[in-house]
Amino acid sequence: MKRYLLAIAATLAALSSACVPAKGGSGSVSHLSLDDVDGKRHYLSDYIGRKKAVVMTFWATWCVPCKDELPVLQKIYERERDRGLEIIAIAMDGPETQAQVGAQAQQMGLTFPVLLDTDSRAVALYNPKRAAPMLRIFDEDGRIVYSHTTFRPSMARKLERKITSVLRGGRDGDDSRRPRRRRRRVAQDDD
Amino acid sequence: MPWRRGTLRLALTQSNLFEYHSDFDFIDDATPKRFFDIKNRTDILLMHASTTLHVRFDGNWYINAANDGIFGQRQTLEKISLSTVQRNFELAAGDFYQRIGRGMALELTKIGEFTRDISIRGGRLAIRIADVQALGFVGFINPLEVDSVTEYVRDIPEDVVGGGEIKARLSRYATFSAHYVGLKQNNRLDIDEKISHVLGGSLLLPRLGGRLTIYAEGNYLSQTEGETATRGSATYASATLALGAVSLLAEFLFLNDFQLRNDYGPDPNNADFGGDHNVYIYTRPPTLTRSEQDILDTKDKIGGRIRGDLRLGKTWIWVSYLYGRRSESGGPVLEDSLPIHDVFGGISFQITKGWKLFVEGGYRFDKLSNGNVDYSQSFAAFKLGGTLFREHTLEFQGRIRDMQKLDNDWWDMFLTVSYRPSKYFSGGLTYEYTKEHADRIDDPAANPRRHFGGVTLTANFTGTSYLRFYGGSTRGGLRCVDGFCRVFPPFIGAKGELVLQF
Repeated sequence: MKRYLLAIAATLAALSSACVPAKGGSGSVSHLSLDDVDGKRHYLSDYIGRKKAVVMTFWATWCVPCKDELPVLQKIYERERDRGLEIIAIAMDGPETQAQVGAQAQQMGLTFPVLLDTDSRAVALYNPKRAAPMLRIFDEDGRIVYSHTTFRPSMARKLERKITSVLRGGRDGDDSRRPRRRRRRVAQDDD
Repeated sequence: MPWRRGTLRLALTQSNLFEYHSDFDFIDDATPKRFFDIKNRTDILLMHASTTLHVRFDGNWYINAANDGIFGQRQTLEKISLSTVQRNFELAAGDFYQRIGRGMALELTKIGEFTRDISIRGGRLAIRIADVQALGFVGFINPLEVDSVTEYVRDIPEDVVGGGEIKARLSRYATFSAHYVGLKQNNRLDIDEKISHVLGGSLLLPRLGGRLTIYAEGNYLSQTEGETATRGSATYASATLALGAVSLLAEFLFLNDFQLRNDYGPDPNNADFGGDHNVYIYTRPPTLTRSEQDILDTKDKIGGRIRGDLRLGKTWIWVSYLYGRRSESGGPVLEDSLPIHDVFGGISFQITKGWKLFVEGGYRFDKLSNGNVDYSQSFAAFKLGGTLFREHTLEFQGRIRDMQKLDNDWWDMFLTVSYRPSKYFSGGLTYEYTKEHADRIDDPAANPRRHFGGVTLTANFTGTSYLRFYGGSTRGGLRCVDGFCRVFPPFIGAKGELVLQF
């Protein structure tokens, strides 16, 4: 058994080192691919580590707070897309509600990719507790710099500030005007 | 945040649950069982370039539990996998999840950390060339050893599953797939082993004219068990029409003796929420109904539904109607069935700035051929939440249901109030009432529980790590409280939950 596992590990390590990592410092980003609601394949490595900021949000059609969060993200996306923002919405719907995913995305006017995690592979990597909503922000080096597992409309402004901050390389215009002590506390929250 | 050095990334999710049960298994057993337990879930991800090592350790320690052979001190390596994901191929050894189509041919996934989690332990290879993907997999069925709802140690099936799928995106307007799933079930009761073959295919036609999406899937099932051979089929189709603020969804489902399951556990028709720990169902077709129906699904049914959604700014309105038939006595649905009517609708809107109201109501009934009601449910639910001032938020949530299952009828309700003074702390009160158990426990002196209540206090360290204390009782089920949805098992006692994610 041990020999079998070692052989597999060696094979995978060899395959891994033989492959060229994604550009933009995202060497540790998985090439995991998910289909969108139209059947088109998307690779996470095409976004994470290549864009200045990537927002990955896990949602489901039965999740009420998710439907508050997604329109907020759409507005931010329209404003910040040209500055290097990408948003990926990953639906965790089971077979009983999967047919509603595309329709609800269209109703909310979402123009960023809406992907289906049918085999729980993205969940296993980035949302092991399967929380909904669950949002993560990746910086341009592919590092996760912010996460939250809940959303209330009162959080919209803070979320926007955080995304803007990551787009500016971690320096937020609003935060920079605050006293140094306050800025340190904000950074600690998000770690 | 995950630890990272160069191309190496380590992510750790540590979940600890400390529980005191003051009346375990209260639904099925009137005699109180009191004990402590500690549960540990350690989920480790180590990623290097595109290779990922995933390990999950589970620990269950029971202190002072009346050990009648069903509980066990367990420290197990529940999941282990090593995988590499490249642009043109994926290779995995160990545990992985798999869904084929809309879950009709196969659905082995994780629903939650402390709920259903069935993987395949074996190997999986996917190769992608342009818009074509070929997938093959084989392995043993690997559910969690301890059922988190009942706490019972499970009888792990020795079933072997394998299959493959070819999916081709022919154009931006058409994606075609064909699949096969084989299942070999070893006998545990000295009866003949069962061999199942599923052959099927699907077609996705997205955004025809920019507005219409059509999906259709068909499956054929062949099963042999000794001298007995059976045949089944499953068909599902959906059409979604998006017209700006309005979307219309039409669905059709036909299941004819179609299900992959482990047949060697307790009779699933007699199983309830607390007793189905040895039943493993490997398929999960669309139900066309709401998830909170509290009714076991069947392998024989036919029906269609239409759903309409309207979004006007921050207002959502939806309505759904299903007409179907399901098998009345386990036979083919076209020969022996009872009608199902299921209608529900709701509205979600902003009352004032910062305050939102969600209201939903519905009615379902399944009528027997003799005119009696086999199952019915009517319900009304609401959720009202908003900001009091600054970061202080308040939320009310509730539901009332009137239920009938054959001769048993009862009503139940729950109400939750949660208050969050800051992003670091929150608290909530929950009250539940049910008349159900009065009809289910035979012993009239058992004084069935009708009132349930609890207090929750949460300290959030970061966006994903928290410490939560709960004291009281709950009936369990799917709950979404203060923006967080989970399936809660039934419980009476006190517990602390510490979740740390690095």
